[in-house]
Parts: sequence; C-alpha cells; structure tokens
Amino acid sequence: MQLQVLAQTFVNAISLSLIYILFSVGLTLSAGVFDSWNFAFGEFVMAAGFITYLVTSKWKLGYPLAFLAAMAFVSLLGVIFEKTIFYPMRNRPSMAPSLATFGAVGILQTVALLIFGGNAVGTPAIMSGQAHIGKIVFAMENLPVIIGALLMILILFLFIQRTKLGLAIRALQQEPMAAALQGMNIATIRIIVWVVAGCMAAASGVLLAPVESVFPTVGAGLLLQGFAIVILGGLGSIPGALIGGFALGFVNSFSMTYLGTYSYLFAFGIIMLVIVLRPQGLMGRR
Amino acid sequence: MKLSQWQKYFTILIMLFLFLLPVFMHSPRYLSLFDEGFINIVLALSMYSMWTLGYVNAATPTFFGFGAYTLAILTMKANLPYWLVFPIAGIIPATIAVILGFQGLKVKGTYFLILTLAFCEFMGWLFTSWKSLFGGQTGLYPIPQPVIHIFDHTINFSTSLMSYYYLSLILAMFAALVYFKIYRSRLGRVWENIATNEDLLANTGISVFTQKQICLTVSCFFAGLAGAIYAPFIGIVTPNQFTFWHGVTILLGVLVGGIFSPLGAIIGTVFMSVLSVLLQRYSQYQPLIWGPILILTLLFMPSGLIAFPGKIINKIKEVTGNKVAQS
Repeated sequence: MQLQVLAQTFVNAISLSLIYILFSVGLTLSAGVFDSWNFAFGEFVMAAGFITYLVTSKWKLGYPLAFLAAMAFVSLLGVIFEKTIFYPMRNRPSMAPSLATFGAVGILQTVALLIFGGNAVGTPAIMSGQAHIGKIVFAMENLPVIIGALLMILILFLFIQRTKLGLAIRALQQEPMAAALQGMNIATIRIIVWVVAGCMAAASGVLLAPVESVFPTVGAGLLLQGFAIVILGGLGSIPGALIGGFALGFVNSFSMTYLGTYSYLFAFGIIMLVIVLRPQGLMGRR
Repeated sequence: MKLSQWQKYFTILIMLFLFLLPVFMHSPRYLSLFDEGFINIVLALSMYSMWTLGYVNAATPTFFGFGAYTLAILTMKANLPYWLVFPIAGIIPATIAVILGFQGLKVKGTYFLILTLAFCEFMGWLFTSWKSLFGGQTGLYPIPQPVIHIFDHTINFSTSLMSYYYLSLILAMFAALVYFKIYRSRLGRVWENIATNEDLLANTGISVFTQKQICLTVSCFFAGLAGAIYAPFIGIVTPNQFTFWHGVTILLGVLVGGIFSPLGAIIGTVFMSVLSVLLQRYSQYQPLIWGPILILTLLFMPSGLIAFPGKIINKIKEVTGNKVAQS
C-alpha cells in the first residue's frame, strides 16, 4: 500500500511538473523577449481551461478540437495584449506593462465570473481506466497529459533551436537593438512570440482541465508557481524552466501527499532564496 | 517646493472642513465611508513612497494585515489595553519590513514586485493555516473596542462612529504631514532620485540601501498603524481582507492621482473611493471598471490627474504666446 501511494504520487508529480513546465516555458519566453512580466499569464490558462470545458463538456466535440480552439483563442488574446499594452509601452520602464497586466487580470477574471459563475467546473477525463504494472495500479488519466506535454515541449524546443524563426526569437531576447539592426521585423517576431507563448499556456490549460477543476481564479496559484520556476531557472532560459518545473512539481506533489498543502511556502521560499543567493537563476547568464 | 500663501490657506480650510464635517453629517454610512477613505489614504501614501524609489510593494496589504492581526491578538488574547497596543501594531510590521528588506531590497523593479507578491500570497496562506494564532479562515472576532477616559467622560468607540472618524482622520493627517515634510527635505530628494539614477547617488556618498530600508520601514509602520484602526472599526480580521487585490486598487489610486507628489496619491485615493461608492451595487464586477482605468492611465496619463491643471495652463500659455508672436 505504501509503495502504491509512492508510485501514484510519483506519476502525479511527473504530470504536474510537465504542466508547470509548459506554463513556465511560455512565461519565461515572453518575459525574456519583452523584458517585462505578464501577470495575466495565469488567466491565459484559465481561459484555455474554460474553452476546454465548453468544447468537451458542453458541446461534446472532443479534445483535439478543444486543443485547437484553446490555442487559437489564447493566441488571439496574446495578440490583443501585444497591441493594447506591450507594444505601445515598449519604450517605457519595464514595470509599466507589468502593472497594466494587473488590470487585464481583473478584467479577464471578472468576465469569466460573469459567464461561467464562481463555481469550479470539471471536464471529462481524456483517458479513463487503470493500468496494472506488477502489483501497482496507475490511473490512466495522467498518461495523455504526460504524452501531450512532452510532445509540446519537444516541438517548442525544436522550433526555438532548429528553425530560423527560433533563432530570431533568441536574438531578440539577447539584444533587441542588434536584432533590429540586422533588419528583422521586430513587430512581427513579437507577435510570433505571443502566439508561441499563448499556445504553451493553452496547452497547459487544456491538459490541466481534466486533472484538476477550472474556476475563474485558477490562474493565480499557477502564476506564483510559474514565477518560482522561471526565477529558479533563470529568465528566458528554457532548460532552466525544465529543471525548475520538475523541482517544483515534485516538491509540491510529494508535500501534498505526505505533509498537506505547503505549495505557497515552497514557491515563496524558492523565490526568496534564489533572488537573494543567485538572482540570475540556475541556468541564467545575465 | 514651498507652499504659496493661498495653498496654505486652502490646506487649512480643508482641514477645518474635515474636522467640522461630523458635526453636520450623522449618517453612519458616510462616516464609515470617510473612515475607510482615510485608512486608504495612509496605505496609498505608503505605496507612493515606495514608488518614488522605483518599487511597488505588493505586500502593502500584508503589512496592513500585520498591524490588524497584532492588534487583534494582543487585545484579545493578552488582554492588553488598546492604546498600549496601538504603537506596537506599527512597530511589528516595521520590524518585519526591516527583515524582509534586508535581503529583498537588493533586487530592483519587477523582481521586488514578484517577491512581495509571493510574500503576500505566502502570508495569506499562513494567516489561513495557522489557526491557533490567526484564527484561520473565520478570522479573529470580536475585537475589543478602544475606550478613552477624559476626566469623568468616557468615550466608548463601539457606540460612536464619530470617534473612529477622528482617529483615522488624525492618522491620515499625521501620515500626510510626515510624508510632505519628508518630500520637502533632503531625504525626500534622495528618495526621488533613487529610481532615476541609483549609481550616481551611490557615488555621491549616499548609502542607497539604507535609504531604501528607511523608506520601506516608515511605509510599513504607517500601514501597520492603519491596520490597528481598521481592525476594531470592522470588528473582525480575516485573511480575505488583506489580499494582494486590495493592494492593486490602492496602487491604482496612486497611479491615477499622479506619481510626482504625495498630493497625487491622496487625490487618486479620493477619486477611487468616490468611484467605489458609486459602483457599490456592482462590487463583484468592479474590476471591469478599474481594469481598463489602470491600463488607460498607464497608456495615456502616466503623470496622473494632478498634472492636468499644469498641462492646461501650459496649453493656454502656448496658445496666447503664439498669438503674441504672430502679432
């Protein structure tokens, strides 16, 4: 029985870590390129979660369509953010757009509250049933989360490392002025970054919806974990987000099983310690 | 910046008006609205002073909460008299601020915002989880009411809202006086320039870190005192009263009013208070109003409401000046 709990916690930890990683990869990418933090990133996940609820529970159209709809909607949301907040304020101190996203958080949460009400809604499991390996029983609901998240992370990694557009994004992140002098169309690349980051947030929202429930303030808790991961890993670093995501996912998952919920304590502790001891993060260069 | 003659008279007039107002206004609703407004002004001043250093202290409501909880715990569980606890409720948040700032103030800008946000969420969790000390989700109540004995008269705060009005008015005026004095002195000029060019300031021999510590400590001291008035006034302290969103609405007041003078913070808070009274029926959906206000203020009005008269005067001068030049 003890082994059963341990094994299930381990699987939960992996799927939670992967969802965290999806989320924080998008967060770290946009924060690195725009040099200011998007505090409404948690609300992107919330929006994706509610779209999943609409598509799968209300209209019963299945998860592939939910994936596409959520990605399209969240990318559109990201482009709206770019056009109304981030692009007009690109030459202001980096705090200004960050503060403006607080307003967006308020608007998005209230709109969600108006449309869906304050109660948590659930979506059907992507895959039900159990798998037996030896004496240990695993719930199958985690399998699609793990596969889907790994696939998305792989695609993103290849996109950033292997394509020309990915190179452009990395260049923009490191030295915007030099990138502009090379003749890059910065406005277009910024929008692409929003779409990529939005797709990551949407994927984490769709995968989170069946495992946990969706409610208007679901993004707030996730955002804090995301900040802890990004700060731990270093701003703009995707490998850093991988390490940070696994660290926080495992710590949270195991503490939830064996100690009760201490997730706030760990997130705050990590943010405080890293900011004090190593402000550039584990993998950061700056 | 020295006050001109008419500005002095105007300030005295407003003070007199505020002191005499409860004589004519007995409605408990308005009295408590004013009371909350004064408390918010203290918090806005504390938020503003950190802003001048280039910091946003997202944990301002938490320090406000520390004051309220200190008061509630010491008066309820240790049975200490209110007026003895009142200064302690300022000193404890200030001490916590010193400890937090010792490491936290080493980072700049948005990182401090994230740090304080995490601190705020963490303390919210601690207030909820540590049931034996903070009372958990249901909070601590009933908080003993302060009583004043003047010769044979006894003023019991539980029966008169007016006494809370005067108490919070005096605190708000005291905080405003302190901050106006600071911003007119050398200390204030140092604070205002930390955000602009910290390295230059450090090179002139000023310990920037100490200045930041002083600013954070003073602001948290006032936030704690505000909490000490708020707790018995509301009669209950729960973790939900000190969320990060309370801080955002206060910050919004500071930004709307204008970020170049403590007066801007006061004007903005008054504006926000009036707005929230007008929208009281839709309190759940208020973010739909203040969200756009926050974004639009940052986009189109970065210097706030307080800059409007100056802009209009400049415009008039420009227009008349052109006419003179043409003729």
